[in-house]
Amino acid sequence: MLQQVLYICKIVKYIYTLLASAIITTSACTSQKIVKPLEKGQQQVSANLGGPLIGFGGLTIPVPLTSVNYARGITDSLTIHGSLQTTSLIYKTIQLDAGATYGILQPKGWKPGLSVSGSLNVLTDMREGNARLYPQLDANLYWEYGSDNFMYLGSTNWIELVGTKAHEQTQEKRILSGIQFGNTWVTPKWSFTAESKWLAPTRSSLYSVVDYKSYSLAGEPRGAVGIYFGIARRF
Amino acid sequence: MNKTFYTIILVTLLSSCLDLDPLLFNPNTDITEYLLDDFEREEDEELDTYAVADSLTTLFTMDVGENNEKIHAIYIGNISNIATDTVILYLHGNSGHMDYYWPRAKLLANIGRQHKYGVLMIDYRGYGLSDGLPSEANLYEDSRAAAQWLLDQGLTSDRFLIYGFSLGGAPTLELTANGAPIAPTKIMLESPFASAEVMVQDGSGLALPGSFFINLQIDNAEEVKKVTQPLYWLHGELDDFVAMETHGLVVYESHQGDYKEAHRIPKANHSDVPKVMGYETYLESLQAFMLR
Repeated sequence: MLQQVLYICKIVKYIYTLLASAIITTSACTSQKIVKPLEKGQQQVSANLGGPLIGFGGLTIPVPLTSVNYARGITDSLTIHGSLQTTSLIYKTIQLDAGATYGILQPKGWKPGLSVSGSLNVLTDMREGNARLYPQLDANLYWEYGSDNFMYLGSTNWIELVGTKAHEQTQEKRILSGIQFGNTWVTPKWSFTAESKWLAPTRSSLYSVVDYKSYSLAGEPRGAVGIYFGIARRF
Repeated sequence: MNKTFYTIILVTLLSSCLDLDPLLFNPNTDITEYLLDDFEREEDEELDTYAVADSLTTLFTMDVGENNEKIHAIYIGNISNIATDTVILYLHGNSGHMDYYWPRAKLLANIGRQHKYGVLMIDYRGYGLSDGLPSEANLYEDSRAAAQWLLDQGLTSDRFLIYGFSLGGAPTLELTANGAPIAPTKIMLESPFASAEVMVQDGSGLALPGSFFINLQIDNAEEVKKVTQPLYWLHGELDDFVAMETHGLVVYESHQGDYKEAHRIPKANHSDVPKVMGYETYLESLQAFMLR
Protein backbone atom coordinates (compact mmCIF):
# COMPACT_ATOMS: atom_id res chain seq x y z
CA MET A 1 0.00 0.00 0.00
CA LEU A 2 2.87 2.37 0.84
CA GLN A 3 4.26 1.80 -2.65
CA GLN A 4 0.94 2.75 -4.18
CA VAL A 5 0.70 5.91 -2.08
CA LEU A 6 4.27 6.88 -3.07
CA TYR A 7 3.36 6.27 -6.70
CA ILE A 8 0.35 8.56 -6.36
CA CYS A 9 2.59 11.17 -4.73
CA LYS A 10 4.97 11.00 -7.69
CA ILE A 11 2.09 11.43 -10.14
CA VAL A 12 0.83 14.42 -8.18
CA LYS A 13 4.35 15.90 -8.22
CA TYR A 14 4.39 15.56 -12.02
CA ILE A 15 1.00 17.25 -12.17
CA TYR A 16 2.37 20.03 -9.99
CA THR A 17 5.33 20.51 -12.32
CA LEU A 18 3.11 20.63 -15.37
CA LEU A 19 0.85 23.15 -13.69
CA ALA A 20 3.83 25.28 -12.75
CA SER A 21 4.79 25.40 -16.39
CA ALA A 22 1.19 26.05 -17.29
CA ILE A 23 0.81 29.15 -15.15
CA ILE A 24 3.98 30.64 -16.54
CA THR A 25 3.11 29.91 -20.13
CA THR A 26 -0.64 30.06 -20.14
CA SER A 27 -1.30 33.72 -20.68
CA ALA A 28 -0.49 34.24 -24.31
CA CYS A 29 -0.12 30.62 -25.33
CA THR A 30 -3.61 29.93 -26.55
CA SER A 31 -4.87 28.78 -29.90
CA GLN A 32 -6.92 30.81 -32.38
CA LYS A 33 -10.57 31.14 -31.40
CA ILE A 34 -12.20 32.00 -34.73
CA VAL A 35 -10.33 32.11 -38.03
CA LYS A 36 -13.19 31.85 -40.50
CA PRO A 37 -16.24 33.89 -39.43
CA LEU A 38 -19.41 31.93 -38.69
CA GLU A 39 -22.58 32.44 -40.69
CA LYS A 40 -25.12 34.90 -39.39
CA GLY A 41 -27.02 33.41 -36.42
CA GLN A 42 -24.74 30.40 -36.19
CA GLN A 43 -23.38 29.47 -32.78
CA GLN A 44 -20.35 27.43 -31.86
CA VAL A 45 -19.12 25.84 -28.66
CA SER A 46 -15.58 24.53 -28.63
CA ALA A 47 -12.91 23.12 -26.37
CA ASN A 48 -9.17 23.36 -26.87
CA LEU A 49 -6.24 21.44 -25.49
CA GLY A 50 -2.57 22.18 -25.93
CA GLY A 51 0.23 24.55 -25.21
CA PRO A 52 3.92 25.23 -25.60
CA LEU A 53 6.32 22.33 -25.86
CA ILE A 54 8.51 21.88 -22.81
CA GLY A 55 11.10 19.40 -21.62
CA PHE A 56 9.48 17.21 -18.99
CA GLY A 57 10.89 14.04 -17.47
CA GLY A 58 13.21 13.53 -20.42
CA LEU A 59 10.37 13.96 -22.90
CA THR A 60 9.11 16.86 -24.97
CA ILE A 61 5.41 17.40 -24.35
CA PRO A 62 2.91 20.22 -24.77
CA VAL A 63 1.75 21.91 -21.59
CA PRO A 64 -1.85 20.69 -21.26
CA LEU A 65 -3.67 24.01 -21.26
CA THR A 66 -7.40 23.80 -21.75
CA SER A 67 -10.09 26.29 -22.61
CA VAL A 68 -13.79 26.39 -23.45
CA ASN A 69 -15.09 28.87 -25.99
CA TYR A 70 -18.34 30.25 -27.32
CA ALA A 71 -18.85 32.11 -30.60
CA ARG A 72 -21.85 33.57 -32.43
CA GLY A 73 -22.16 34.91 -35.95
CA ILE A 74 -23.61 38.44 -35.87
CA THR A 75 -23.40 38.82 -39.64
CA ASP A 76 -21.79 36.60 -42.23
CA SER A 77 -18.61 38.61 -41.74
CA LEU A 78 -18.67 39.39 -38.03
CA THR A 79 -18.40 36.81 -35.24
CA ILE A 80 -18.19 37.58 -31.55
CA HIS A 81 -16.52 35.15 -29.19
CA GLY A 82 -15.51 34.57 -25.59
CA SER A 83 -13.37 32.05 -23.73
CA LEU A 84 -12.50 30.77 -20.31
CA GLN A 85 -9.08 29.24 -19.65
CA THR A 86 -9.99 26.25 -17.53
CA THR A 87 -6.48 25.10 -16.58
CA SER A 88 -5.65 28.37 -14.87
CA LEU A 89 -8.62 27.95 -12.54
CA ILE A 90 -6.78 25.08 -10.87
CA TYR A 91 -4.11 27.43 -9.61
CA LYS A 92 -6.54 30.15 -8.61
CA THR A 93 -6.18 32.44 -11.59
CA ILE A 94 -9.16 33.42 -13.72
CA GLN A 95 -8.44 34.12 -17.36
CA LEU A 96 -11.24 35.27 -19.64
CA ASP A 97 -11.27 36.82 -23.06
CA ALA A 98 -13.90 38.36 -25.27
CA GLY A 99 -13.61 39.74 -28.75
CA ALA A 100 -14.73 39.75 -32.35
CA THR A 101 -13.47 38.41 -35.66
CA TYR A 102 -14.20 40.23 -38.90
CA GLY A 103 -13.84 38.73 -42.35
CA ILE A 104 -12.18 41.30 -44.61
CA LEU A 105 -11.72 39.14 -47.68
CA GLN A 106 -13.66 36.07 -48.73
CA PRO A 107 -11.59 33.21 -50.14
CA LYS A 108 -11.92 32.59 -53.87
CA GLY A 109 -10.21 29.62 -55.42
CA TRP A 110 -6.52 29.82 -54.59
CA LYS A 111 -6.92 33.34 -53.21
CA PRO A 112 -7.08 33.19 -49.42
CA GLY A 113 -9.65 34.74 -47.17
CA LEU A 114 -8.46 37.27 -44.61
CA SER A 115 -9.87 37.79 -41.13
CA VAL A 116 -8.81 40.04 -38.29
CA SER A 117 -9.64 39.64 -34.62
CA GLY A 118 -9.57 41.95 -31.66
CA SER A 119 -9.90 40.61 -28.13
CA LEU A 120 -9.50 41.70 -24.58
CA ASN A 121 -7.91 39.23 -22.16
CA VAL A 122 -8.60 39.65 -18.47
CA LEU A 123 -6.54 37.82 -15.84
CA THR A 124 -7.09 38.05 -12.13
CA ASP A 125 -5.89 35.91 -9.27
CA MET A 126 -7.90 34.75 -6.29
CA ARG A 127 -5.01 35.28 -3.86
CA GLU A 128 -4.41 39.01 -3.83
CA GLY A 129 -6.89 40.17 -6.43
CA ASN A 130 -4.22 41.43 -8.80
CA ALA A 131 -5.47 41.88 -12.34
CA ARG A 132 -4.05 42.43 -15.79
CA LEU A 133 -5.68 43.45 -19.06
CA TYR A 134 -4.14 42.43 -22.37
CA PRO A 135 -5.54 43.62 -25.71
CA GLN A 136 -4.93 41.08 -28.45
CA LEU A 137 -4.86 41.63 -32.20
CA ASP A 138 -4.77 38.70 -34.61
CA ALA A 139 -4.88 38.32 -38.38
CA ASN A 140 -5.21 35.13 -40.39
CA LEU A 141 -5.12 34.15 -44.03
CA TYR A 142 -7.12 31.01 -44.75
CA TRP A 143 -7.53 28.76 -47.74
CA GLU A 144 -10.60 26.62 -48.23
CA TYR A 145 -10.39 23.15 -49.74
CA GLY A 146 -12.61 20.10 -50.00
CA SER A 147 -16.13 20.84 -48.84
CA ASP A 148 -15.60 23.31 -45.99
CA ASN A 149 -12.14 22.45 -44.68
CA PHE A 150 -9.59 25.21 -44.45
CA MET A 151 -5.98 25.78 -43.51
CA TYR A 152 -4.68 29.00 -42.10
CA LEU A 153 -1.58 31.03 -41.46
CA GLY A 154 -1.52 34.11 -39.30
CA SER A 155 -0.10 36.25 -36.57
CA THR A 156 -1.18 36.84 -32.98
CA ASN A 157 -0.14 39.81 -30.87
CA TRP A 158 -0.59 40.46 -27.16
CA ILE A 159 -0.07 44.02 -26.02
CA GLU A 160 1.52 44.63 -22.61
CA LEU A 161 0.03 47.76 -21.09
CA VAL A 162 2.22 47.70 -17.96
CA GLY A 163 5.57 49.37 -18.48
CA THR A 164 7.23 48.33 -15.23
CA LYS A 165 8.03 44.82 -14.08
CA ALA A 166 9.05 43.60 -10.64
CA HIS A 167 11.71 45.61 -8.82
CA GLU A 168 11.16 48.66 -11.01
CA GLN A 169 12.60 46.94 -14.05
CA THR A 170 11.40 48.25 -17.39
CA GLN A 171 9.16 46.03 -19.50
CA GLU A 172 11.02 46.80 -22.70
CA LYS A 173 9.10 44.62 -25.12
CA ARG A 174 5.46 45.67 -25.13
CA ILE A 175 4.18 43.36 -27.84
CA LEU A 176 4.31 39.58 -27.54
CA SER A 177 3.88 38.23 -31.06
CA GLY A 178 3.48 34.80 -32.48
CA ILE A 179 2.89 33.14 -35.82
CA GLN A 180 0.56 30.23 -36.25
CA PHE A 181 -0.57 27.79 -38.87
CA GLY A 182 -3.30 25.23 -38.62
CA ASN A 183 -5.89 23.16 -40.31
CA THR A 184 -9.58 22.74 -39.61
CA TRP A 185 -11.55 19.73 -40.80
CA VAL A 186 -15.24 20.53 -41.05
CA THR A 187 -18.25 18.20 -40.97
CA PRO A 188 -21.86 19.40 -41.08
CA LYS A 189 -22.00 19.89 -37.30
CA TRP A 190 -18.52 19.35 -35.98
CA SER A 191 -15.08 20.66 -36.74
CA PHE A 192 -11.63 19.58 -35.61
CA THR A 193 -8.56 21.79 -35.56
CA ALA A 194 -4.85 21.17 -35.22
CA GLU A 195 -2.62 24.20 -34.85
CA SER A 196 1.01 25.00 -34.23
CA LYS A 197 2.18 28.34 -32.97
CA TRP A 198 5.62 29.85 -32.63
CA LEU A 199 5.28 32.35 -29.84
CA ALA A 200 7.78 35.20 -29.42
CA PRO A 201 10.06 34.00 -32.23
CA THR A 202 12.39 36.95 -31.82
CA ARG A 203 12.93 36.55 -28.08
CA SER A 204 15.70 34.37 -26.73
CA SER A 205 14.46 31.59 -24.47
CA LEU A 206 17.97 30.52 -23.52
CA TYR A 207 17.69 31.99 -20.04
CA SER A 208 14.07 31.15 -19.40
CA VAL A 209 13.14 29.31 -16.22
CA VAL A 210 10.84 27.09 -18.30
CA ASP A 211 12.59 24.56 -20.55
CA TYR A 212 10.83 25.60 -23.74
CA LYS A 213 11.47 23.53 -26.83
CA SER A 214 11.66 25.78 -29.83
CA TYR A 215 13.45 26.71 -33.01
CA SER A 216 16.82 28.39 -32.88
CA LEU A 217 17.97 31.52 -34.61
CA ALA A 218 21.59 32.67 -34.55
CA GLY A 219 22.45 29.77 -32.28
CA GLU A 220 19.90 30.58 -29.57
CA PRO A 221 16.51 29.01 -28.91
CA ARG A 222 13.79 31.55 -29.58
CA GLY A 223 10.40 31.79 -27.94
CA ALA A 224 8.23 28.73 -27.57
CA VAL A 225 6.56 26.39 -30.03
CA GLY A 226 3.14 25.14 -29.12
CA ILE A 227 0.71 22.60 -30.50
CA TYR A 228 -3.03 22.70 -29.97
CA PHE A 229 -6.06 20.60 -30.73
CA GLY A 230 -9.63 21.79 -30.81
CA ILE A 231 -13.07 20.33 -31.21
CA ALA A 232 -16.11 22.46 -32.01
CA ARG A 233 -19.86 21.91 -32.32
CA ARG A 234 -21.97 24.34 -34.33
CA PHE A 235 -25.64 25.02 -33.80
CA MET B 1 -12.10 0.01 3.58
CA ASN B 2 -9.25 0.08 1.06
CA LYS B 3 -11.37 1.94 -1.46
CA THR B 4 -12.26 4.56 1.16
CA PHE B 5 -8.62 4.92 2.16
CA TYR B 6 -7.45 5.46 -1.42
CA THR B 7 -10.26 7.90 -2.05
CA ILE B 8 -9.25 9.97 0.98
CA ILE B 9 -5.60 9.93 -0.09
CA LEU B 10 -6.43 10.93 -3.65
CA VAL B 11 -8.82 13.69 -2.67
CA THR B 12 -6.32 15.04 -0.16
CA LEU B 13 -3.49 15.02 -2.66
CA LEU B 14 -5.46 16.43 -5.56
CA SER B 15 -7.08 19.11 -3.46
CA SER B 16 -3.60 20.32 -2.62
CA CYS B 17 -3.23 21.12 -6.33
CA LEU B 18 -5.11 24.28 -5.48
CA ASP B 19 -1.97 25.59 -3.88
CA LEU B 20 1.15 25.41 -6.00
CA ASP B 21 3.64 26.66 -3.44
CA PRO B 22 5.28 23.25 -2.89
CA LEU B 23 6.32 23.41 -6.53
CA LEU B 24 9.13 25.78 -5.76
CA PHE B 25 10.83 23.18 -3.61
CA ASN B 26 12.65 20.24 -5.11
CA PRO B 27 13.96 18.10 -2.26
CA ASN B 28 15.13 14.51 -2.42
CA THR B 29 14.25 12.24 0.47
CA ASP B 30 15.17 8.90 -1.09
CA ILE B 31 18.03 8.22 1.31
CA THR B 32 18.44 6.32 4.54
CA GLU B 33 21.77 7.90 5.50
CA TYR B 34 24.12 10.64 4.35
CA LEU B 35 26.92 9.15 2.26
CA LEU B 36 29.02 12.31 1.82
CA ASP B 37 32.13 11.29 -0.18
CA ASP B 38 30.50 7.97 -1.14
CA PHE B 39 27.43 9.64 -2.63
CA GLU B 40 27.18 9.05 -6.38
CA ARG B 41 27.55 12.37 -8.14
CA GLU B 42 29.27 13.70 -11.23
CA GLU B 43 32.98 12.93 -10.97
CA ASP B 44 35.29 15.90 -10.62
CA GLU B 45 38.82 14.76 -9.79
CA GLU B 46 40.03 18.31 -9.21
CA LEU B 47 37.37 18.80 -6.57
CA ASP B 48 38.51 15.63 -4.79
CA THR B 49 41.72 17.40 -3.80
CA TYR B 50 39.74 19.62 -1.42
CA ALA B 51 39.31 17.09 1.36
CA VAL B 52 38.33 17.40 4.98
CA ALA B 53 39.32 15.19 7.89
CA ASP B 54 36.79 12.55 8.89
CA SER B 55 37.60 13.32 12.52
CA LEU B 56 36.47 16.92 11.96
CA THR B 57 33.19 16.02 10.27
CA THR B 58 30.21 15.80 12.60
CA LEU B 59 26.71 14.80 11.58
CA PHE B 60 24.04 15.73 14.08
CA THR B 61 20.43 16.83 14.41
CA MET B 62 18.68 19.78 15.95
CA ASP B 63 15.07 20.25 16.97
CA VAL B 64 13.08 22.95 15.20
CA GLY B 65 9.55 24.30 15.25
CA GLU B 66 6.69 23.88 17.67
CA ASN B 67 6.61 20.13 17.13
CA ASN B 68 10.33 19.66 17.72
CA GLU B 69 10.90 18.23 14.26
CA LYS B 70 14.45 17.09 13.60
CA ILE B 71 16.62 18.59 10.93
CA HIS B 72 19.99 17.16 10.02
CA ALA B 73 23.22 19.12 9.96
CA ILE B 74 26.90 18.66 9.24
CA TYR B 75 29.62 20.64 10.93
CA ILE B 76 33.08 20.61 9.37
CA GLY B 77 35.63 21.65 11.96
CA ASN B 78 36.18 21.29 15.65
CA ILE B 79 32.91 22.03 17.42
CA SER B 80 34.70 22.76 20.67
CA ASN B 81 36.60 25.56 18.92
CA ILE B 82 33.54 27.41 17.61
CA ALA B 83 33.92 29.88 20.48
CA THR B 84 37.15 31.07 18.87
CA ASP B 85 36.91 30.02 15.20
CA THR B 86 35.39 31.87 12.27
CA VAL B 87 32.42 29.95 10.89
CA ILE B 88 30.53 29.98 7.58
CA LEU B 89 26.90 28.89 7.58
CA TYR B 90 26.32 27.34 4.14
CA LEU B 91 22.66 27.48 3.09
CA HIS B 92 22.23 25.17 0.15
CA GLY B 93 20.06 25.32 -2.96
CA ASN B 94 16.75 23.85 -3.93
CA SER B 95 17.71 20.42 -5.25
CA GLY B 96 18.24 17.22 -3.36
CA HIS B 97 19.84 17.23 0.06
CA MET B 98 23.19 17.76 1.78
CA ASP B 99 24.96 14.96 -0.08
CA TYR B 100 24.52 16.97 -3.29
CA TYR B 101 26.21 19.99 -1.70
CA TRP B 102 28.87 18.16 0.29
CA PRO B 103 31.68 19.03 -2.20
CA ARG B 104 30.67 22.70 -1.94
CA ALA B 105 30.82 22.63 1.86
CA LYS B 106 34.23 20.96 1.69
CA LEU B 107 35.43 23.67 -0.65
CA LEU B 108 34.47 26.33 1.87
CA ALA B 109 36.31 24.36 4.54
CA ASN B 110 39.43 24.80 2.41
CA ILE B 111 39.36 28.58 2.15
CA GLY B 112 42.81 29.79 3.16
CA ARG B 113 43.89 26.33 4.13
CA GLN B 114 42.20 23.11 5.22
CA HIS B 115 39.95 23.71 8.23
CA LYS B 116 40.91 27.35 8.60
CA TYR B 117 37.19 28.10 8.89
CA GLY B 118 34.39 26.01 10.32
CA VAL B 119 31.47 25.25 8.00
CA LEU B 120 27.92 24.41 9.07
CA MET B 121 25.43 23.01 6.55
CA ILE B 122 21.84 21.96 7.24
CA ASP B 123 19.07 20.15 5.41
CA TYR B 124 15.93 22.24 5.65
CA ARG B 125 12.74 20.50 6.68
CA GLY B 126 11.60 18.12 3.95
CA TYR B 127 15.11 17.73 2.53
CA GLY B 128 17.19 14.57 2.91
CA LEU B 129 16.59 12.98 6.29
CA SER B 130 15.12 16.07 7.90
CA ASP B 131 11.56 15.78 9.19
CA GLY B 132 8.60 17.79 7.97
CA LEU B 133 7.78 19.53 4.73
CA PRO B 134 9.57 22.31 2.89
CA SER B 135 8.00 25.74 3.09
CA GLU B 136 9.12 29.33 3.06
CA ALA B 137 8.52 29.68 6.81
CA ASN B 138 10.42 26.47 7.55
CA LEU B 139 13.32 27.59 5.38
CA TYR B 140 13.75 30.64 7.57
CA GLU B 141 13.06 28.91 10.86
CA ASP B 142 15.54 26.12 10.14
CA SER B 143 18.27 28.56 9.11
CA ARG B 144 17.55 30.58 12.23
CA ALA B 145 17.93 27.40 14.31
CA ALA B 146 21.32 26.81 12.71
CA ALA B 147 22.42 30.33 13.65
CA GLN B 148 21.10 29.79 17.18
CA TRP B 149 23.07 26.55 17.45
CA LEU B 150 26.26 28.40 16.49
CA LEU B 151 25.48 31.09 19.03
CA ASP B 152 24.99 28.41 21.66
CA GLN B 153 28.45 27.06 20.87
CA GLY B 154 29.96 30.47 21.60
CA LEU B 155 30.17 32.03 18.14
CA THR B 156 30.10 35.81 17.98
CA SER B 157 28.92 38.07 15.18
CA ASP B 158 32.36 39.23 14.15
CA ARG B 159 33.32 35.64 13.30
CA PHE B 160 30.09 34.63 11.59
CA LEU B 161 29.46 34.63 7.81
CA ILE B 162 26.61 33.24 5.74
CA TYR B 163 26.96 31.82 2.24
CA GLY B 164 23.70 31.29 0.34
CA PHE B 165 23.55 29.37 -2.91
CA SER B 166 20.52 29.89 -5.18
CA LEU B 167 17.46 29.22 -3.00
CA GLY B 168 19.78 29.50 0.01
CA GLY B 169 20.04 33.19 -0.78
CA ALA B 170 16.50 33.66 0.55
CA PRO B 171 17.20 32.54 4.16
CA THR B 172 20.58 34.25 4.00
CA LEU B 173 18.91 37.57 3.30
CA GLU B 174 15.94 37.01 5.58
CA LEU B 175 18.19 36.25 8.53
CA THR B 176 20.53 39.11 7.80
CA ALA B 177 17.80 41.65 7.08
CA ASN B 178 15.33 40.78 9.80
CA GLY B 179 17.50 39.81 12.72
CA ALA B 180 19.16 36.45 13.18
CA PRO B 181 20.00 35.09 16.65
CA ILE B 182 23.49 36.11 15.67
CA ALA B 183 24.03 38.67 12.91
CA PRO B 184 26.59 37.78 10.25
CA THR B 185 29.47 40.12 9.70
CA LYS B 186 29.44 39.51 5.93
CA ILE B 187 27.32 37.59 3.46
CA MET B 188 28.05 35.78 0.23
CA LEU B 189 25.42 35.07 -2.41
CA GLU B 190 25.95 32.71 -5.32
CA SER B 191 23.37 32.72 -8.13
CA PRO B 192 20.53 34.19 -6.05
CA PHE B 193 17.09 34.75 -7.56
CA ALA B 194 15.43 38.15 -7.24
CA SER B 195 11.90 36.99 -6.50
CA ALA B 196 9.27 34.50 -7.57
CA GLU B 197 7.63 37.32 -9.51
CA VAL B 198 10.70 37.68 -11.72
CA MET B 199 10.57 33.94 -12.37
CA VAL B 200 7.01 34.29 -13.64
CA GLN B 201 7.84 37.35 -15.72
CA ASP B 202 10.94 35.76 -17.22
CA GLY B 203 8.94 32.71 -18.20
CA SER B 204 5.96 34.52 -19.66
CA GLY B 205 7.63 37.53 -21.23
CA LEU B 206 4.87 39.63 -19.67
CA ALA B 207 4.68 41.77 -16.53
CA LEU B 208 2.46 39.28 -14.70
CA PRO B 209 2.14 39.61 -10.91
CA GLY B 210 3.73 36.84 -8.87
CA SER B 211 0.40 36.27 -7.14
CA PHE B 212 -0.87 34.73 -10.40
CA PHE B 213 1.42 31.86 -9.50
CA ILE B 214 2.01 31.37 -5.80
CA ASN B 215 1.55 32.70 -2.28
CA LEU B 216 5.26 32.80 -1.55
CA GLN B 217 6.53 36.15 -0.37
CA ILE B 218 10.22 35.46 -1.01
CA ASP B 219 11.61 38.72 -2.33
CA ASN B 220 15.38 38.82 -2.14
CA ALA B 221 15.64 42.04 -4.12
CA GLU B 222 13.63 43.80 -1.40
CA GLU B 223 15.20 42.07 1.61
CA VAL B 224 18.73 42.93 0.48
CA LYS B 225 17.85 46.62 0.72
CA LYS B 226 17.82 46.24 4.52
CA VAL B 227 21.25 44.59 4.58
CA THR B 228 24.18 46.77 5.60
CA GLN B 229 26.78 44.01 5.86
CA PRO B 230 29.35 43.70 3.06
CA LEU B 231 28.07 41.58 0.15
CA TYR B 232 29.99 39.23 -2.08
CA TRP B 233 27.94 38.26 -5.15
CA LEU B 234 28.88 35.82 -7.87
CA HIS B 235 26.76 34.61 -10.76
CA GLY B 236 27.28 32.72 -14.00
CA GLU B 237 26.71 34.86 -17.06
CA LEU B 238 25.17 31.87 -18.86
CA ASP B 239 22.84 30.90 -16.01
CA ASP B 240 19.85 29.48 -17.87
CA PHE B 241 17.76 28.86 -14.75
CA VAL B 242 18.18 32.01 -12.66
CA ALA B 243 19.22 34.55 -15.27
CA MET B 244 22.03 36.82 -14.09
CA GLU B 245 20.63 40.04 -15.54
CA THR B 246 17.08 39.75 -14.22
CA HIS B 247 17.85 38.04 -10.91
CA GLY B 248 21.36 38.23 -9.43
CA LEU B 249 22.20 41.63 -10.80
CA VAL B 250 18.95 43.08 -9.43
CA VAL B 251 19.79 41.71 -5.97
CA TYR B 252 23.32 43.06 -6.18
CA GLU B 253 22.23 46.51 -7.32
CA SER B 254 19.58 46.68 -4.57
CA HIS B 255 22.15 46.25 -1.81
CA GLN B 256 22.53 49.52 0.07
CA GLY B 257 25.49 48.68 2.28
CA ASP B 258 28.87 50.41 2.20
CA TYR B 259 30.71 47.58 0.51
CA LYS B 260 29.84 45.03 -2.13
CA GLU B 261 31.67 43.20 -4.83
CA ALA B 262 30.37 41.52 -7.97
CA HIS B 263 31.83 38.53 -9.74
CA ARG B 264 30.20 37.81 -13.09
CA ILE B 265 31.61 34.56 -14.33
CA PRO B 266 31.73 34.19 -18.12
CA LYS B 267 30.71 30.78 -19.48
CA ALA B 268 29.34 29.65 -16.10
CA ASN B 269 25.82 28.31 -15.72
CA HIS B 270 23.73 28.02 -12.55
CA SER B 271 25.56 25.32 -10.62
CA ASP B 272 29.10 25.36 -11.96
CA VAL B 273 30.38 28.80 -11.01
CA PRO B 274 33.29 27.64 -8.78
CA LYS B 275 34.33 25.05 -11.35
CA VAL B 276 34.31 27.47 -14.28
CA MET B 277 35.94 30.16 -12.19
CA GLY B 278 38.63 27.68 -11.14
CA TYR B 279 38.54 26.32 -7.62
CA GLU B 280 41.74 28.04 -6.53
CA THR B 281 40.61 31.38 -7.94
CA TYR B 282 37.24 30.91 -6.26
CA LEU B 283 38.77 30.16 -2.87
CA GLU B 284 41.30 32.98 -3.11
CA SER B 285 38.54 35.40 -4.05
CA LEU B 286 36.43 34.37 -1.05
CA GLN B 287 39.44 34.54 1.23
CA ALA B 288 40.21 38.08 0.07
CA PHE B 289 36.62 39.14 0.78
CA MET B 290 36.58 37.53 4.20
CA LEU B 291 39.84 39.15 5.25
CA ARG B 292 39.21 42.64 3.95
